[in-house]
Amino acid sequence: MKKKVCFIGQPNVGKSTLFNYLTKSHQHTGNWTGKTVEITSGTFNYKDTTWEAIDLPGTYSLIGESIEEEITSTYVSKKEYDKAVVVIDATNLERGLVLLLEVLEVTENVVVCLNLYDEVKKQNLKIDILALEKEVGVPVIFTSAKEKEGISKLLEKLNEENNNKLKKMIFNSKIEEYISFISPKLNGDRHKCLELLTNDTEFNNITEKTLKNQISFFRKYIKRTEIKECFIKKGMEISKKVIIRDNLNKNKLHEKIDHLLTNKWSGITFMILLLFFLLWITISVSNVPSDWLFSFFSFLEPKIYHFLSFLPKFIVDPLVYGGYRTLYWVVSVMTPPMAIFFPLFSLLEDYGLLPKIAFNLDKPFRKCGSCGKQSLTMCMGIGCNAVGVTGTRIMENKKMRILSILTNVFMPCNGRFPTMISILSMFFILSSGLFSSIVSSLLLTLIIVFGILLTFLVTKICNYFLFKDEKTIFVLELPDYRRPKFFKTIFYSLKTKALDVLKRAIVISFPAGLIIYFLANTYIGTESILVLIANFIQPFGKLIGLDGFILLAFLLGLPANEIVIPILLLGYSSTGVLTNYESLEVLKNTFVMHGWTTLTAINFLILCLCHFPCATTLLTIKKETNSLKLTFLSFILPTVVGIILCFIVATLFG
Amino acid sequence: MIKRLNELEKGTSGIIKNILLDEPTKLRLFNFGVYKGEKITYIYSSCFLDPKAYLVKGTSFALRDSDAKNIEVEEL
Repeated sequence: MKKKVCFIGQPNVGKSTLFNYLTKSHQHTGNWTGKTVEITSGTFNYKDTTWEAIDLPGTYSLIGESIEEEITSTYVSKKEYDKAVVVIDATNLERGLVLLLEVLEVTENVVVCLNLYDEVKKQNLKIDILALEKEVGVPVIFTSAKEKEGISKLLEKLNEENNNKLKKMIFNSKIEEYISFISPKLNGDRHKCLELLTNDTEFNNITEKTLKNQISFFRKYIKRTEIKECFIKKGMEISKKVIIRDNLNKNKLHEKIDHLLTNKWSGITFMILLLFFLLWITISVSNVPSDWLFSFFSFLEPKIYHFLSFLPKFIVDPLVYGGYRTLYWVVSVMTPPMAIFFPLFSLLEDYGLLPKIAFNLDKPFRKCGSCGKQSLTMCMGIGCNAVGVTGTRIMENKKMRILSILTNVFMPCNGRFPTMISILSMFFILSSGLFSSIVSSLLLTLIIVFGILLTFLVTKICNYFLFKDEKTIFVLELPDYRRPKFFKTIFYSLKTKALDVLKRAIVISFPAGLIIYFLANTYIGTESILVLIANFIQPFGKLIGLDGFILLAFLLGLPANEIVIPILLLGYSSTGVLTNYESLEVLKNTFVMHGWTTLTAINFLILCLCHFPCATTLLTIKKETNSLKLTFLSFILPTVVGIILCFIVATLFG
Repeated sequence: MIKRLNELEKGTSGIIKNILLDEPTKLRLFNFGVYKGEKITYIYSSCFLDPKAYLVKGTSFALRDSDAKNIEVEEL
């Protein structure tokens, strides 16, 4: 037998965790309000039934105008499911009941999960579950997605028919009067009545004229807030009846953390330290596995070459020395930092720290026309700009979202870290060992702070020129801190984010390698195309304190920023293939031989921070904004900023 | 005494008397428990003093001063 079930719940109630546990589709669940805007589905089996499950986006209510509210309420109204599971945060029963009552108005095939039962026990809260069942007329069970409690009971209840009598919601006398007027014409469908009274699109779809006239008359005297208030009152009433022992005492330790995080000086210090540690751990830990990966892949290289040697040389060479080598270069450089950064970030996310950061930074961002949530998309951008761009979905305001997309590239992603660090260690850090990793993280933090300032500036400028958008209210839930499931979070984050980014990089870097090989090995006269192009743009490069090869390396690095230095080396040494350098000293010597000074290094760093986003990010921007104009703008904007900055530095100090 | 929400002192509470905002905004605030008659507490501010964090029935959330000034409360 095949059946359908949907999961409805407010943000942060553990709905997705429950869903994941049942379907084993390992979708990541975070502590961030309304993160899953896309609807996820999966299947699970119980006895002889195969359940097709749908995880609806977290929503506070079915009445409202946010995207999540619209998606959920439309889905619920269509009734194309056999059961709806409403997940409620048991520690905040009243709020959850409002949503439940709204759902019950549409369908009675509901099973209620009072989730976060582990928190209930911890907080010494007590809820009379039988009384609650009587009040709402549908089965209610305690669950704890984290401790896997109540899952089998949930499955059992899903398979049972609901025989309880549902108590109908009674609205205020005015609304009831209107409903009794219209409902006979709609076969007594009270939910339909409410929809017609409050939902514009539904109302406009009415074809019968007299009915439409009647309803349009009522609509003048009815407000959605009134209907909502009835649900709220009922929710209060029920929760008063069923909560035996309430505990509204906030966790003292959490309160202390809150005050420490949001105090002016300790808050800012904490955020900068956090950024620094995140970078330091990422940098210092990723070196070793990076080398391992590199040696492993280069060990395979001659074997692959040998294996393909039945093919003619002019095919094998580009495939192995072009495509394969570029591919493994990118993979070895990008995988370790990504595999460290994203899980760390997810841990912070699951702990509930991120909303506090958005809260703290709202004011400076607002001054530039955006809001605090932009800081979070920037953090994600440090992991990968493409992820940062997708992350802008957390911003409801369209204009702010576009601003964050356009400026995300000013956060150096993991793909650019290694490049920046090698330049930093060659020209600015003289020691080695632990000290050097601390210094390079410090310098990198400085670069990021510079990037943050640039973000503010560019956001402000763009805000001035972009379309005007209506002002929307900024309400941000500040959820309680929750201890994340350490290994599970790390695992999910690796499996979803990191792997996804890696896949996209692989797809792009192989063909890029072929193109680079072609440019470096096709000769016109005595010079390769690569050198010819570099010579051609040399004057412009000199103008901004760089040279033609550097510019070309950035251009060819469009598919993946990791290969900028290898391409540069290829150009300087004209070997025709990407070659690894034995040590940073050798690399530095090559660079100095080609006229590099400290100034060149500074300009290189500036351009590395401010230039077009990589191809993957551009594709993501196209997908998210669905606008070629914006994609083009996000290409040209940082590039122009970078060129201007380099020009200024080169003229002032050159 | 009737005050605007953003005028509350840190750590003090008020009863919500009036919400002077449009319907969609009101609906959004309802989701956080902000409606007439509820007790609201100003718990802490952000690093830059604005926005501020408020607590209603165990739910904490942030509001900007420019929005909070449209909510009237009776100081307790």
